[in-house]
Amino acid sequence: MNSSIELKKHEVAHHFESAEQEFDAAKIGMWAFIAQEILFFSALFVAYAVMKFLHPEMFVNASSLLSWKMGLFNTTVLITSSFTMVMAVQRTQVNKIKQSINYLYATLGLAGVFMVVKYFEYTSKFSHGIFSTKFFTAEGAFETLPVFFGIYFVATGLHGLHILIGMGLILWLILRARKGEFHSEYFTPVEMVGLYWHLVDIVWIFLFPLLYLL
Amino acid sequence: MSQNEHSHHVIPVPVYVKTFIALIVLTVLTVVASRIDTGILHTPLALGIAMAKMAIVALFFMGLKWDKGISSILFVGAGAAVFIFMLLTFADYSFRGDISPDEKQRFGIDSPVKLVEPGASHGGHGSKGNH
Repeated sequence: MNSSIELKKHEVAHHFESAEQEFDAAKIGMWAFIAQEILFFSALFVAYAVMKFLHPEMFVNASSLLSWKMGLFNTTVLITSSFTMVMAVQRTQVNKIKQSINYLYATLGLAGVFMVVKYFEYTSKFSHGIFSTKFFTAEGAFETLPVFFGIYFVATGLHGLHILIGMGLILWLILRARKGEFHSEYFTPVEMVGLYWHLVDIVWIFLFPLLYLL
Repeated sequence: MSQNEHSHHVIPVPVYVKTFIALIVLTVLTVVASRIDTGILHTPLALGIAMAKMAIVALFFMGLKWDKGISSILFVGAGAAVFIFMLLTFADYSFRGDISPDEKQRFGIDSPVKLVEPGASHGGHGSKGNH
């Protein structure tokens, strides 16, 4: 097992009968939160669908202004980070804590790469005067272009905020894992942050084709 | 404490590796499908592939395949709510032009866009969906 990380026994909170009941309660809570997140992002997807329905040609024109290569790169980065995240959970379940920490670092690094690419995408749009809604100053072929970029910046911005929050959570997992708090008998926080991270991946799986490819 | 009866079955690594490969293949496929001319299949293909990827992430990475039913109910339930949201909003928007024909008056916003090719500019505000 691990020579330098001493695993700590987890004490089940007094209001739970067993560790299993504690884990299941946390999991139902996490899935309820994920359901809420889906509803939260759905408003943006409905806005996208309605505006695309009202302005089909403008949407084709606007999406050609985005770099699908950067979008594809970021999609690959996020899918890879979902894989490293799930491996971090799996390694904890078999008590390979050091490997789990390495996978968490990999996930954190990939999330960082995603944000750096997003930064370059945003600044290249800003430098052309492409901003959200009324702040738009660029030239364009359609007067309704700011509508698309309003959706683009709000959707990718909120998604980016989720990535940043996820990075904070992963860092928190790394700090706790190094103290030996997670192991085969207790890995609830690793599993729950994992679920959150995969949800953020799912949101991007839809944002990528809708904004960059259609 | 009876922590030892707390048994989770651990998913073998190859399952996650295969899931990862499937997701990468589908990502490449969605880009290829969008770069070639698939006519009216353009949007349905992109959405179909995205749905397939979502299902793969949910089933394997999020473990719904092996999880208790309540998790799937919450996930699918949220999806059903999104579907109803989409449906009712479109029921509204599809027939709205008949009630409020003047788009300009409804939005009342001057566009900040400096138009290029003025001829190509009338695809937007006010020129569609009204009679």
